Amino acid sequence: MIKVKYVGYLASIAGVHEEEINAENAKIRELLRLKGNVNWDEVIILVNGRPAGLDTTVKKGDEVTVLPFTSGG
Amino acid sequence: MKGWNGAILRVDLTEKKYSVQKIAPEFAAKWVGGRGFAARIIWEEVPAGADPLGPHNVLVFATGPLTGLTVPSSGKMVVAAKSPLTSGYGDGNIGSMASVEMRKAGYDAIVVKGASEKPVVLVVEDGKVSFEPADDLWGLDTFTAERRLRERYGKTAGILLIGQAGENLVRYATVISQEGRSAGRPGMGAVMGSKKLKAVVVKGTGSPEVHDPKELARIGAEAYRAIKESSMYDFWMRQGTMLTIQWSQENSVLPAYNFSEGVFDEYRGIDGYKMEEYKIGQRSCPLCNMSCGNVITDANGLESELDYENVAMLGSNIGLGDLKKVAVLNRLADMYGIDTISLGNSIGFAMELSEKGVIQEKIEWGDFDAAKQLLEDIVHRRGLGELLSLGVRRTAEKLGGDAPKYAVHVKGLEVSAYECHAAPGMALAYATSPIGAHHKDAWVIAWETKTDRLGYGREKAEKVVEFQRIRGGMFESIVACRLPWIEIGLNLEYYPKLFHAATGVTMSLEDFNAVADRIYAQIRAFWIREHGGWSREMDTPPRKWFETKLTKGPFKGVSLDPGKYQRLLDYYYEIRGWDSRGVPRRTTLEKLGLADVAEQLSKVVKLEP
Ligand code: SF4
Repeated sequence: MIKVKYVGYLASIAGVHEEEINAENAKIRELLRLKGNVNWDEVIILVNGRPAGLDTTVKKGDEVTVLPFTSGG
Repeated sequence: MKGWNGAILRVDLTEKKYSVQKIAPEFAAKWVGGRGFAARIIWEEVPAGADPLGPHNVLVFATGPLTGLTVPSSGKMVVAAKSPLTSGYGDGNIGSMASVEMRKAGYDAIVVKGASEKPVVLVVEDGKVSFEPADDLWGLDTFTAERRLRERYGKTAGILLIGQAGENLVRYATVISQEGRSAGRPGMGAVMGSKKLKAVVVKGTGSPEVHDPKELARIGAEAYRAIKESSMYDFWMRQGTMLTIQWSQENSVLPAYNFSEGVFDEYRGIDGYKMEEYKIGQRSCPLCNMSCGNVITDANGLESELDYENVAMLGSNIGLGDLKKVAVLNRLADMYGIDTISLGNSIGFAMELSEKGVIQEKIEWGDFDAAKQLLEDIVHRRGLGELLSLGVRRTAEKLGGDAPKYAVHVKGLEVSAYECHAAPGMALAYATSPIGAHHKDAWVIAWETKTDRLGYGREKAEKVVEFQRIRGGMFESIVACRLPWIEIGLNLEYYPKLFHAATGVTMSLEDFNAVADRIYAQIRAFWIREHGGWSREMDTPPRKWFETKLTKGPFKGVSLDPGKYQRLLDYYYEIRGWDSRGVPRRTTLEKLGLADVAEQLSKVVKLEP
C-alpha cells in the first residue's frame, strides 16, 4: 500500500483527505487525484516528509503528502 | 496631496498638549507611510540611548495611503517605538477600526511623546483632541475596558488599548483592539503603559481625498472579486491560518517543546479540523473579505479568537495538545494584552529550564494549570513570572549557566511559530528581520521546501530579501494586509495600481523595492546607533538550532550548519549593500537618499565606502 495525503484546499479538490493505494511501485503523478485542475507550481509534494516531485517513483509503504504552496501568514 | 491626509497629530502627554504637523509631499513620497513614517520619525526623535520605558521614547501609530480606503484588507496600521524588549526598533501592525477612523479624522499618523502622571485616554474626534482621566479603567483587562469605552464613545469608535500586561510594563505587552486583535510584539503595549496611556480613541467624519475615486472603486472592486474567486478562498474561509498547523507538521516546522522538534505527536488535537469542530464564528479586520479570526469556545465556555501563531506557540511549543485549553491561554493573553508568541516561547523556555534542572520550579511539558499560573505570574510580575516578564534573553542572562542555550530569540525578540533546525532560509529570515525574530517580513519555507530545503545557496538570501521588500517594505508602508497576496494569490500588480488611483503618484513594484531598501537601511541605522556598533552575532539565529539536533520526524538528526550559515549571511549583506559586519555602506546609504543618516552613523561606526 502507498498512502496519499491531501492537505488544505487540495483535499477539497481531490475529494479525500487521505487514501491507501494498492501499488508496488508508481510515479507520483499516476497516484494523484489532482490532474489539470491545479497549478503544479503551487503544489508541494513530499515523500515520507522529504521534498519530492511529480515524477518521483514511490514504493509500497511510502507516504506521499500533497500540500498547497502557502505563505505562512 | 491626494491619498495621504498630509497631517500628523502630535501629542505631548507630559504637557497635555497637541498640534498638527503638515507632511511635506517629498517626505510622503520618500517614506510612503506606516513603517516608513515610523522608522524615520523614531530615528529623528528618539534620542540615542533613551529609556524605552521613559518619556523620551516616541510612540507612533501610522497608517498608509491605502489604509481605510475601499480596497482589500486595508483596515491596518503600524504601531512602533523603541522596544523595551530588544532596545532596538520595534513595530507591529494591527487591524482595527482605529486605522479607518484615524484616516477619517484627517490624520495619517499620531505621534505620542512624553508621559502622563496619571492614567489617561487620548480622545481624538476630528480636529478635537482631549485627555480624559482613566483612573477607572486602569487595572482593567482590555475586553472590559474596551466595552466601557464603547459605551462612552459609541459602537463605531476606533479604540486601541492596553491591559494589565502593558500597565505592568511586561516587556512583550501588546496593544489590543476589538477583543483579540493584537499589535506590537516588541513591547509596544509596555511603551503605552510607561506613558500611562490606557487607550486611544479615534473618531472621524471625513474621508481622505483620493486622486481618482472612480478608478480606485473599480480596481478595488475587481481585487475583492479576484480574492473571492480564488480556488483557495473557500478553504481559507473555513480554516484561515489554522490550516498551517497541519502544514507545518507535515513539513517538520511546527515548533514543539520550546523549538526542540518540528513535529508534535498530538497535533491533531490543535489543528484546523479540530478548530472547525468547535468553531462558533469568524472575526475580521475592517474592510477585509477574507476574515481570518476563527472564534471557538474555550474550556471555560468563553469565546477565544485563534490563529496559527497563537495556537502553535501556546499549544505544541509547550507540549499542549488540547485546543480548548490552548484557547483559554489565548483568551487570557488577549485580555491582559500580552503577546501570545513571546508568551508561548517564555512558557516553553521555563518548561525546558525545569526539565534540565536549571530552575527548581517543577513545570512539566503540557501542564495546562502550570502554564496558566505562569501566564498570570508573568502578567502580574511575581515569582518566576517577574523574571520571565523581561523576555527569554534577559531571563537567560540573569540565570546564567546553561540557560542561554535554551533561549530561542533573535536580537531579544522571541522566535515566532516556525521551527528552523531544518530550514536555513527561514532561519536567515528570522535572523535578519528588522524587529528581531518575526515572520512578517519574510517567510520562505514553502519556497525552500520546493527548491533545496537544506541548502545554503545565494538564492535563499535573494529570496529572503525579495520577501522583505514586498512584505516588510511595501505592505507595511502602503499599509494593507499582505494575506490576500500571500495566502490567496491576489496579483501583486494590484497594489501599484491602487496606490496610483489613491495618490496620483506612479510607482512600480521596483520603486516600492527602493522604498523598502531605504526603510531597512534606516531601521538598521537605528539599531547600530543604539548599540554603538554592530556584529554578525546580532544577525544569527538562536544557538539551539545549531547546537542540538531534531530527534523526531523526517529530518531527524538535522541541525543548522554554523559555517554555511555565515556564508548565507554574507550573501545577504552583499545583496543589501551592507558590509561584512552588517553595517550599511556609505554608498548604499547615499544611493538610498540617506546621506544624512550616513553622516550621523559615521560618528558611531566607521562606514565602509
Ligand atoms: S486577512 Fe486576516 S489579518 Fe488580514 S485583514 Fe483580513 S482578517 Fe485581518
